[in-house]
Amino acid sequence: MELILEQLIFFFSILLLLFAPGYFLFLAVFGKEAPFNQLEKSTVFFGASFLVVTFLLLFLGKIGLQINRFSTIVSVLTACLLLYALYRLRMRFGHFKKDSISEKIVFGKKQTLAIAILVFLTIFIKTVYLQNAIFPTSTDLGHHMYWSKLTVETGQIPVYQKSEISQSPDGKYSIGSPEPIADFIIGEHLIFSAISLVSGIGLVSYLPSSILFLINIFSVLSIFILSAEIFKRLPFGNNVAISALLFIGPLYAISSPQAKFVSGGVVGNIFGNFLMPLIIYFAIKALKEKSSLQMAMAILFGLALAYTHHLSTFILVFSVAFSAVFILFSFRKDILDISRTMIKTLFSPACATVLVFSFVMLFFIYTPTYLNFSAVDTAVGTPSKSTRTGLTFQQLTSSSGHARMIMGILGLIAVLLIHRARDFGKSFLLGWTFAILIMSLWPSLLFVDIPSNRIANYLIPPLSILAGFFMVGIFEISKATSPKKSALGVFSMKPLGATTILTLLLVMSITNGLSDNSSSLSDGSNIEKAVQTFESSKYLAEKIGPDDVILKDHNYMTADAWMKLFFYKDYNFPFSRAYFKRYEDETKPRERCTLNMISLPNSEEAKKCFSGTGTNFIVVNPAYDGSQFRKIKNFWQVYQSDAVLILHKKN
Amino acid sequence: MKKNLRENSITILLFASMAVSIFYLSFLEKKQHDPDDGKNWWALYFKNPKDYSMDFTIENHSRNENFTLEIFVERNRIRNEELYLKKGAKKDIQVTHSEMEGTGKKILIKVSGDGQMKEIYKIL
Repeated sequence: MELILEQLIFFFSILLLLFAPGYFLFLAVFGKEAPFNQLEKSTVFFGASFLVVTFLLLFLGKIGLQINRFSTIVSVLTACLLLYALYRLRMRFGHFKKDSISEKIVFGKKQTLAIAILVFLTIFIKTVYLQNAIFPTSTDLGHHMYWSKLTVETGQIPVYQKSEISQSPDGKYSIGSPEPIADFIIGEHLIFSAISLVSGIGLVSYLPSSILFLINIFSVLSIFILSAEIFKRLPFGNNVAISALLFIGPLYAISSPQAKFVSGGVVGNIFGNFLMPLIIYFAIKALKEKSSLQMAMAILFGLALAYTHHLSTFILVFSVAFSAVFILFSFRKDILDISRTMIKTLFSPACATVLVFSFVMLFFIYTPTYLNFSAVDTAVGTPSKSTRTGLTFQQLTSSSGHARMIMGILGLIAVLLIHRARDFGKSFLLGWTFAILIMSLWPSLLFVDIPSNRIANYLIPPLSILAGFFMVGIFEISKATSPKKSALGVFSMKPLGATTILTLLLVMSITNGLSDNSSSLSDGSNIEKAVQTFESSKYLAEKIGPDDVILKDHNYMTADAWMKLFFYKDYNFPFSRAYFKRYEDETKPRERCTLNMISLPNSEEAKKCFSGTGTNFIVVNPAYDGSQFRKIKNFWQVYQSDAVLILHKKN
Repeated sequence: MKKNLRENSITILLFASMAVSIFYLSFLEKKQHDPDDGKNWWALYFKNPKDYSMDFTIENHSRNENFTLEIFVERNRIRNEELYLKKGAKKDIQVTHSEMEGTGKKILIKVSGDGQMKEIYKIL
C-alpha cells in the first residue's frame, strides 16, 4: 500500500515537473492546432519541461529563495499559469494562424502497430536489464547525486567545489580549502533535486535511475521523430523512421550509451543524447518551414544543453558547423536567399527574445562552471594522451555495433549518392555524422583533445538513422521496375535480390543487436555489498564529529561513491584511495596520501599524511585490506561486516 | 475518431509501459534495499568507536541465528558464550571486566557464526 502511494506521488511529480511546464510552453509558442503528432508533442513536452524547471530553479536560487517542495511546486504552477496566459493573449491577437507549409506526420495502421511493438520491446528489454541495475551502486551516479542531494538538503544551488589533500613546500600535508570543479554542470542535477523534493523520495534509491531511464526512452523517441522529419518528403519516410527506431530501440538496447549509461549514471551524456536530436529536429523544421518559432525552440534547447553537458554542447557546435557546410554546398545557387532567410529568422522577435533570455541567463543568473578558459583549454588542442588520439575503425565499429555500423556507412553512402535535392534534413544528417566520424577517428584534424571513445558514443544516433534509411532503401528499390522509377532515383534491383539482401541484413542486425543485449545483462551480485556500504555509512554518520576525517577505498568497495551522500561535508568527504593506476598517470600527477594511508599506513609518508590531514577513520573491504593495520598499536578495528571494515586511528 | 485513437494509442502504450516498468523497478529496488530481504550478512561493531567503552552490537541479516562470542584480553579469553539472534535483529552487549583495567591491553571481541568469524578490538 505504501509503495503504491509512493508511486502515485512519484508519477504525479513527473507529470508536474516533466510534462506540465512543457505542455504550457508548447501551447504558448505553437497554440493548440500546431501540426505535430502526439509522439512529437510528448517528446517536446518532456524536453521543454526539463528546461523550464531547470531555469526556474536557477532563478529561485539567484533571487535567494529556498529551493524546497513548496517553492518548487508554486514556481512551476506559476510558470504554467503565465504560459497559459501568454497563450490566451496570443490567441486573442490571432498569432496562431494555420501554417500552410508544414504538415503533421501521420502514421498508417500497420506503421502504428510497428511503432507500438518497437517501443514496447525497447522498454521491456531495458527493464529486464535494469532489474539488476536499478539499485544505486554506480560511481558516476553517486558523484552526481551528491550535488542533487546537496540542493535538497540546503535549499541552495550547489557550488561545485571540493577540498583536496595538498603538500606545502616544506613537505607538510594538509586539507586545502575547497577549490572550484569544472566537471559538473548544473543542468545535470537540478531536475533530480526537484523530483526528490516534490515526491519526497530520497536520492539513494530507484529515483535517479528511473528518471534517467525515462530520459533514455525519450531520447530514442527524439531520434525517431527526427528521422521522420528528415525523410518527411520521401513517400517511404515514415518507414525509415520506424527502421531507425529498430536500430536505436530494441537492438543494442543495453549497450552504451543506452541502458548501460542509465545504470552507469552517465548523466550528462544521457541528457545530451536526448537534447541533441531535439535541437537538430527544430533547426531542420525552422529552415524548411522558414519558421522563427521553430528556430527559437532550437536555440532554447541549445541553451538547455549548454547548461547540462559540455561535451554534448561541444559536439553539437561541430555538428552544426559541418551541417552549415553541407547546407551551403546544397543551396549554393541560392546562397543569398538562404542567408537573408537565416538573418531574418535570427532577428525575428521570437529568436531575439530567446537570445536575450540566453544572455541574461548566462551573464546574470548563472554561468555554467565549464565556461572558463582553463576548461575550454583542456578540450581544445593537440591530443595529450593516447586515449585521445582517435579510435581505429575497428574500435569505432565495436562501440557502435557491427550491424549498425555496416548499414550506417552504407546508408551514409546512399544519402551522399542521392543528395541531389536541396534538403536541409539530409544536410544536417550528413554534417552531424561526418563531424562525429572525424572527431572520433582523426581528432587532431579538428584540434579536439577529448577521450575518443566518449565521442564515439555520439555516432550511434545518426548511424541508426542512416542504417534505417539503408534498410528501407533496399526494400524500396526492389519495388521499382526501373532506376528512374525507383523512389531513390538511382537504381533498382530485382525483387528476389533485394529480398535476399534485406533478409540477411535483418537477421544480421537482430542477431548482433540482441546478442549484444544478452551479453550486457548484469547478475546483480553487488547489491548485498552495496547495502553493507550504506549501512556502515549510516553508522559512521551517527558516530563522527566535525573534526573527524574519513578515508575509504575505491578499488575494492562497492557503491563507495554514494558514501558522501550520508555526510554532506564536502564532495571529497570521505577521501578516497583511487584506482591504483591513477597514481601512476604522469599526465595528471596526484597526491599519494590517499594511497599510502591505506596501503602503507606505517610508512613515514603515511604518518605525515595522517598527522597533516587528521584522517582518523579508514573504511576498506576486509577481503583485501585490514591486515596491514593489525600490527599498528593506535589503530582500532571498530566495525566489521562481510564487505566493510572500519578502523579508527586513536591519537 | 479512428485516426485520433490510432495517433493516441502509441502515446498511451508508451506511458502505460513506462508506468508499469517504473513501478516494477521501484518494487524490486525496495526489496533490494532491505538489509534482510534475500540477504545473508551480519555485522559486529562498537557502540562508540571513539572512546574506551567496549560495549558492542551484533546485527544479524543472515540465515544463521546461532553465534559464538569470545572476548580476549591480550591472549586470555575472559568470556565465551553462545548467542541466539534472529534474522533482522540486533543485540547490544555490555562489556566490563576487572581484567580489562590498565593501559596498553588489546581487548578483542570475536564473534563466529556459520563458518564466518568477525572481530573488533580496541587497545586501551
